Formats: sequence, structure tokens, C-alpha cells
Amino acid sequence: MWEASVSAAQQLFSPGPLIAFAIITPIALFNGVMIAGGVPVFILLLSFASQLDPFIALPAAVFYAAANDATEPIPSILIGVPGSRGSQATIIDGYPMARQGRAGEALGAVYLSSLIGGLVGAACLMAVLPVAREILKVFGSAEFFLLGLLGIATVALLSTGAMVKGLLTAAFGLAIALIGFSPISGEVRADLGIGYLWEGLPLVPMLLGLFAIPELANLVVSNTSIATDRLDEVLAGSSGDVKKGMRAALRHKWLIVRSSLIGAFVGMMPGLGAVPAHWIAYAQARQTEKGASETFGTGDIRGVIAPEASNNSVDGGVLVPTLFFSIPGSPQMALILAMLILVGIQPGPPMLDQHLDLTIALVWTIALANIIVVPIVLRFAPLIARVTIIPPNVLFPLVMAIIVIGVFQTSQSLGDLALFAIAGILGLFMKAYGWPRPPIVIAIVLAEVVEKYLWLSVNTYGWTMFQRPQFIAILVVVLIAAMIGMRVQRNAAKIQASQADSGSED
Amino acid sequence: MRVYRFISIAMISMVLLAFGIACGGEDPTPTPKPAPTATPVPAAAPTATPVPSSSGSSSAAPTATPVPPTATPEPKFDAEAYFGNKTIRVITGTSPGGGYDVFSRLVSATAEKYFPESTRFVVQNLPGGGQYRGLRALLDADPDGLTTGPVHSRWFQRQAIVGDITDFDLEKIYILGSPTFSPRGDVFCVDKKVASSWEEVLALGRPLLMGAAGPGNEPAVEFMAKNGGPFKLVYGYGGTSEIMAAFDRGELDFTNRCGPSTAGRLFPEWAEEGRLVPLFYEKKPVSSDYLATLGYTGKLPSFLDLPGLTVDPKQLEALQANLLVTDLSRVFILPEGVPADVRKYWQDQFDKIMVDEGFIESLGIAGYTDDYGYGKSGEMLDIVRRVRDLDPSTRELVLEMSGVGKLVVN
Amino acid sequence: MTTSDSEKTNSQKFLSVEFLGEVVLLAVVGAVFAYMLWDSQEWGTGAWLLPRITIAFGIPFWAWRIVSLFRTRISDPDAQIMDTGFLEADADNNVVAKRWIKLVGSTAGLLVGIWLFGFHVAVPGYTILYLMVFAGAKWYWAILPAIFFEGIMIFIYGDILMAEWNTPLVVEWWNAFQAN
Repeated sequence: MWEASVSAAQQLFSPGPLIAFAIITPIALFNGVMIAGGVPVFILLLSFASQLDPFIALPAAVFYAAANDATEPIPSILIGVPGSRGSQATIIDGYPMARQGRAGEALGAVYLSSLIGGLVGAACLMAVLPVAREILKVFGSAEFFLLGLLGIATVALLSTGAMVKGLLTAAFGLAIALIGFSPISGEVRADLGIGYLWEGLPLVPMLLGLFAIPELANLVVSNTSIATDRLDEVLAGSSGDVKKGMRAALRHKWLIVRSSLIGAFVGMMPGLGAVPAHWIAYAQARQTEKGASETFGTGDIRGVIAPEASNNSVDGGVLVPTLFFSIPGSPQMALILAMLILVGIQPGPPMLDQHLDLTIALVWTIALANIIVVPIVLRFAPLIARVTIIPPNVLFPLVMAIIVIGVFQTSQSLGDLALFAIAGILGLFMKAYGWPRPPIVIAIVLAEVVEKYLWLSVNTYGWTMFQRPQFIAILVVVLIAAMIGMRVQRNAAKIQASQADSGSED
Repeated sequence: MRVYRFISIAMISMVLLAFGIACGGEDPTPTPKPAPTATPVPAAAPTATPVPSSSGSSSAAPTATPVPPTATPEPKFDAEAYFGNKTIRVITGTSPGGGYDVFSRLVSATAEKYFPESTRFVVQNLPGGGQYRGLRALLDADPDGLTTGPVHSRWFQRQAIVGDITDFDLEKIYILGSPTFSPRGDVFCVDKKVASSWEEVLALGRPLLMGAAGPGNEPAVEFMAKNGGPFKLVYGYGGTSEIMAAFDRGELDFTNRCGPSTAGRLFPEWAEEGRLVPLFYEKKPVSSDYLATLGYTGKLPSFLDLPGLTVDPKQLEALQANLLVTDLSRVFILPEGVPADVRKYWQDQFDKIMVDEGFIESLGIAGYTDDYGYGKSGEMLDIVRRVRDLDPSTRELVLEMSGVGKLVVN
Repeated sequence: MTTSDSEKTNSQKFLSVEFLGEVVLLAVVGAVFAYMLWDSQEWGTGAWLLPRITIAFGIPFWAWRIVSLFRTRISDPDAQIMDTGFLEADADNNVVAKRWIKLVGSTAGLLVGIWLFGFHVAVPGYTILYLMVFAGAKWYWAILPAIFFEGIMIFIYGDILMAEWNTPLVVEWWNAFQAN
């Protein structure tokens, strides 16, 4: 291990990788702001992978993945449009903070928690390296199914005061997510005779249609900028807000650590990735933090700390199934896996043996990415926060142009633009009538995982899955989460009712 | 001022319109254009019959057919002139990182060694429709030899058996070949924790669980399961790695991912711990040396020779045809109408790519070593013709076994 | 969208935007469930298992929502997550209506423009026109983001990634015209 660490350090801190990091950093920052992707760095790296040294290609890819995760909360906070799969929950409290003119504070909190989360994720990966394969062998299809289900159920149960709508939306989302080829039998389901739907509903057009169009419409129709309060402070661009956010994050360091551990653990489960991780982290924060049930959703800083810490720690977890089992831990990891093959590196046990130095280098790369990118973003956070005071008629066309380019380039199909428009109309209706939109997105992301592992569990374990200690442990967690979720709902409903009563008495 | 603004807007719009029409990108599925003129070929000389080689042996009986005195030898194809400074698109119907994408990139990287130095290979991802979109783009591409790509097995097999895909005539498109046509050898193993021999498997009292991606992927075991064999296939696994991980944690009892490069690659401890018990092979047995490392001595039987298996002759005929059809995967093609000399050049280079050592090694890292076996155009067309010659009821059986029966086309 | 429920008669409530809009949503959900259930009759077990479980789970909530909607005759937009709701737009409904028309029209124009004229015309054209007409920007400012977007499309996507764009409909018409 020591020799491998020394070799990793020598190779990582050599000109090649460092130049690659220097090139990638501004691109990652740019892409973080560009909704729907920006420069597709992974595809570029894949195109050149076979010509690059493995110690440049792979750290560059992992650096980009980690740096991108660090920058993607920006559109979530500033515009209310998810910048990535792992920044949806951040909108719940991040966007209200931006509306209140506290975008700088949100960014400060997000980035410090991202930094700590990323370091915790890297540390977790380093710690489990010797036993990573053994850990993953303990969990099987039944447990993966439960965790996927937990991801979907969590979001539905978070719909304060609208749990029925939340659960209905989750079911609807799951139903439409199952359109297309069945991962079990290969049959095409509910495609309405349209070939475009054979591969199901793609995530990017749905995500952006459901969120971007309603939020941007909101700004244009109300003719207000994103920030409606503290406009002078935002315009002044003082770093005071950012520092305030950082101090708030430090006050909640245990929340950050808890959320990071959740992210690292869930990230290790194949196929799950950042989406369920950050929602579970958000839900646990809401259920465990004092007073959270009343204040989450209104601009509570803890509501951005928890998901972002988890979102960044996931980067360490997802490398476990990818490197050691050749099973991508997330869609981004599928690209990293492809890159491993293209540069001639065998994933699996060799990553812990003859390529241990590369594995360690990748762990350090995650940490390095956070250390490099976060201070840069923090430095520019006050400037970035000024996006919230851009007039809507200036912001709208720029964001729309970026989105349509990114949506089309997902698979170079006009069908994606059509779906984006349809999802936008659906999103407008849902926003207008209080139907939560996140369950649909989560369902699209997790549907295949949930369906596949449900089928595999039923056919391999059958009823004996209920005798597995690991399954029981996760099931208990799911049931406790559901019960706490419902109790939070009842308490919130009582509070709302009593507020309504006292309001009417006045 | 308003008029001025309106005029400015109108002028800018017209300029942009003209600009856009002039150079607004290519359609991923371009409409076919007339075939470009290839290297000029003089009046074709009649094909000479093979003559004995200098060593005295020949592949065909020499005949005395005279070569016409006026025959002009074909000029050598000038690859540099034709492919130089051009970009060859390798269309793949998956997103970046998917199985076929990696495969296309491996081929592209190797191809650059054999094509002119200034020729650039670019992988173009066109996911959608179960890779049907990629297939359509391939078939509709200009027949200039600058577009190629692998066809997903489901579409190739469907076309071989049923032939109902529009404009996908297997006799007219040009098949370059596939590197996973005739695998080197296979072996099916049971977990020693479950059973140590075929007899113990039969005495187990329950079916052995085997993982697969989808129906049609394991024809031999599916056949046996339907004919009373002690197997249950569990579909839905994402690929070899997931199946092996499931076997490793005891979720599955039985696997064919126990060959020298699959098991040795990800789970070398299986062989070391003596966990694998070989039971039979499907098409061709792995080497006896490898079997010996698993502790197996003796001759590995074919699945058809296993005791206790009853086989209906018609089903057997369909199965044998299906086993051939399953070899039609990852087939690289050129669209219909590519000039003969361009095709020939492509084929010559493709032959070199397929046997390139670096390429084979990369395939191994990607997990395809056990599947490796270069299959050429002629061999594939033979299979297609054999399947087409079957009687309709047998072909129906083949379709059902192949798993592409319920596929939606066009 | 809040409403003053007590000020409306029953029939007005049933015809109100607040009511009808949610009926549309429920109809969409119900249609999806019904279609999927109907189509699943032809699927194998592996294909219909989760869809039917999902529909069985969703139908009670769908019915519950219909019943509560008809009881209260109003949607409840306050109870939601990831939303701060729609902002108070303007006291003048005409102004709000114009803004909606502007929004929908410009977005539709962009998407149709992409289909008709392609990205290289529609995206910069849309950017320039929107900024000049609705944001009141001078042409030399409006042209800057248009050049930026065009640059990304041509250099990054076009040259480096060899990514392709759609063939505009007008180009297809032109090609067809020339072929004839």
C-alpha cells in the first residue's frame, strides 16, 4: 500500500495530469453553469483515451466528474433548475434562499459542505479499499431493490401536506418511466407505436422540461428577477454572505458528515448513484434536525448542506463497483469504465493489485478536485450570485438557448426537443396545481434499477429474501423513514391548521 | 427609429437564414445521395481462374482457362487519395460508454493503424430504438465507404430469420465481419457449493439458477429448460460483470462465465478455491488445459449428450439453427452501393484489424476474449441462407428461441 | 394560483381554471394508467410485473385525489415541495396574458424555428430577436450571446466532437425541389 501510494503521488503530481486538471477546471466551472451539459468532456476524453497515458486519461475523467458535481448546484440554487441528477433536492431550500437575496450564503454553505463531503467520500473509499469487494458481496439484488425503492419513496413522502399527490406522482412517474424496452424480456411496452419511445423517456429532456420551463415562465410572467429581496446586497457582490454560508456549514459539521456517509454508502450500491443518495440525505436531515419540518422548504440552510455533502461524497462510493466489479456505479461511471478499457486497464481485482497506484491516484483526484474547484467557486460566488438580479427578459432567452442546444445534443434527436416541450407543459400544470415534480424525475432515474432488482430478487431469493439480515436491516430503515415521514406530515398539517386558525381569529 | 429597428432585425434574420441554409449541419440520418465516382476502373478484365501457387499447392483445381490477351490489370486502389484527410464515421446505436460504443472505439483505434495516416475515425453515438436508430443511419448513409458501424445482434438476427426490416437486405449491404462470430470455446459450470456433478444436479430436486441479459441469450440452457432440464433462467442482468457478481455472492448457482478470461479476469479466486464444476459445453469445449485448472479431467460432454435429456428432432433442428444465428452479433457493415474497390480495401484492412494483437488484447480487457473468433462475410451469409431455407414451422421455432420474435420493427 | 372559493357558485367553481386544470392532470394520469394496463395484456410476466404493481398502487391515490378535488373544488397549490409557487404577476390580467403569449410564442417559435431552419439560424436568431424586442437591448449587445452560441455549436460540437445537427426542413424542401 505504501509503495503504491508513493507511486500514485509521483504519477499524479507530474506535469501531464496537472496540465489536464488545469484545462479541465475552467471547463467544469463552465459546464456547471451551463444547464444540460455544456462541453461534453467525457466524450472528448473517450475520443482521445486510447492515445493518452492512463495516468492522464483516468484522473482527468474522475477530476472532471468530481469538479462537475461541485459546480452543478449553481443552476439549482440560482434558477431553480436542477444542474444535474444529484442537485435536485438542493433546489428545495437553495432556490428560496436565492429568491430571498441569499444566493451568496447558499453558495457558501453548499461549497464548504461539498468540499467536506468530497473529502469524506475520498476518505471512505480509501478506508474500504482493502475490503471493498467483500463489502459489496454482502449486498445482493434484494437490497439494491430496497434502496432504489427507498429513493423513490423518500421523495414522495417529503411532499409536506400533499402526500397523496406526492405518491400519485411517484406512481405516475414510475409508470411512464417503464415505457420502452423491458430490461427483463426485451419487449417494447406502451410505446404508442412511436419508435422514439422504444428506449424509454430520456432523462435530460424530461428533467429540464419539468423544471426549467415552469421556473423560467414564473420569472417572465411575473416580470421579476430571481431575487426579490436584498437586491442591493446582491448587486454589491460582497463576500460577506458567502462567508456567512460557510460559517453556517461549519456549525452543522455533523450533519455534513452524516450526509456524506450516506452518500458514500449509497454510492457503493451498483446503479444507484447520486440521485437516491442526495434525496435520502435530505430526508434524514429533515427528519432528524431540530425544527426542520417547519423550516425546510423555506430557505433553511441545512436543506442545502445535507444533499450537497452527499452529492459530492457519492463520487468516492461509485468508484467501488466500477473499479472492482466492472459494474458502473452511476451513468458517469459507465464512461469511466469505458475509458479504463480503452486505455488498456483491466477493471476488477487488478485495480487492487497491479494497478493499486492508479486506484489510489483516483481517490486523491477526487479530493484534489474539490480542493481546487471549491475555493475558485467560492471566490467568484458573489459574482455568480448576481445572476439572480438579471432581468427575466435577458435571462430567459440565454438560458433557453443553452438548454435547447444541450437537450438536442443528448442524442442528436429532434424527438428530445419535442419531449422537452411536452414535459414543459406538464411541468407548468404540475407547478400550478401543486403536484410535486421530483418524484417523476427520480422514478425515471431509478425505474430500471428498481424493476430489474425486483425481478431478480423474486426469482433468485423468493420469500427467503425476508430472512436475509442485510435485507431486514434496510427494510427496517425504509419503514422507519416512512413512519417518520408520515409523522412529520401529520405534525406539519397540525401546524398549518393551527396557523390558519390563529390567522382567522385575527 | 422603429422602422430602422425593424429593418435591422429583418436584415440580420436574412443573413442568418442564408448562413444557416448554406452550412446548417448534416442530418444524422442523411437521405441517400447518388453514389460518388470511385477510383476510375478500366474495362473490367474477366476474372481469371485460380492458378497454382509457386509452392505447387492451390486451393482450387487449376484449369486451363486462358486469360484474354486484351485484359488490362486493375489499377491499384489509391487509398491515400480516396481516404486521405477524410473522416470515417463509425455509427453506434448506444450512448457513450455502452457496450457497442466501447467496441466501436476499439475498432476505430485499431483501424487508424491500417488506414492512411490522415484518415480520421470518429465514433458517432445515435442511441435510440434499441439501436435501431443507429442501424437506420448506417443503412441510409452515403455509399462512399466513409460510414460503417456494428449492427446489434437483435436486428441482424431478426433480419436473418424473418427479413422484415426495411431496406436491410443482407445480400446487398456489405458485411465486413465480426470478431465474436465463432467463440474459441465455452464451458458451463455449477457452483461446487450446490453440486459436484451432473448426477448431483439431477438429484438436487430444484432447478439451477442461471443469469442472463434477456431471452435468446442462452439458447442451450433455454432449450434444456423447456425440455425438462433442471434449469431456471433469470433474465434482467445487465451483462457479464453483473452475472458474475451475482454468482459470486451465491445468488446464482450456474454460469457460463467461467471461461479462462471471464472468470480469470474478475474472479480468479473461483478457480483457486475449486469453486467451479464444469458440466458441459454448448458449441465448442474450452481447452483441456483450462479444464484441468478447474480440477476437471476427462472429456467435457456437449449439452446434447447429457443423460436425462429428451430431444424432439424438430426442436433440435431449430436449436442448431438458432445456435448459428446467435453468432451473428457485433457485425460490422458498409451500406449498400459502396464501390467494389472501396469495399475490397475496407475488407483487407478489416481483416488486419480483426487479427491485430493489440485489438485482441483490448477485447480481452473488455471481456470478450472467450467470445473472440473472426467471422467473415461469406460465413455469415451462409448462416442466413441456411436459416432462410428452413421450413416455415422450424423457422418459427428459431424465431421463438432467438428472443427477437416480439421485437417491434420499422 | 389562489382563489376566493366562497365568492363563486358551484358551477363556476367546476368551470374555474383551478378546477379544470387539475382535472386535466388527473385525466392524463388516468389515461396513462389505463393505456399501460390495457397494453400489458400482451406482455410476458417479467414485463408486466412492476407496471401493474405501480398502477395498483397509484389507482387508489388517483381516486382519492379525484374525490377530494370534487369535494373541495379547488386545487391546493400551497402544499408542494421544490416550489415557491407562482409569483403574484400583475394586477392587470391583460398584462399577464400578454406575457404568457410572449413566453409561449417565443418558445414555440424557437422550437419550430429549429425544425424549419436548423440550430444555426434559429438559436442565434431567437437570441437576438428576443433580446432586442422584449429586453430592449441594442443590436450590438444582443449579437454577442448569439455569436457565443454559434461558436459553441460550430467549434465545440461541430469541429471537435463532429456532432451533427438536424437537417432543416427548408433544406430538405430545397433539395427535393432541385431533384425535381
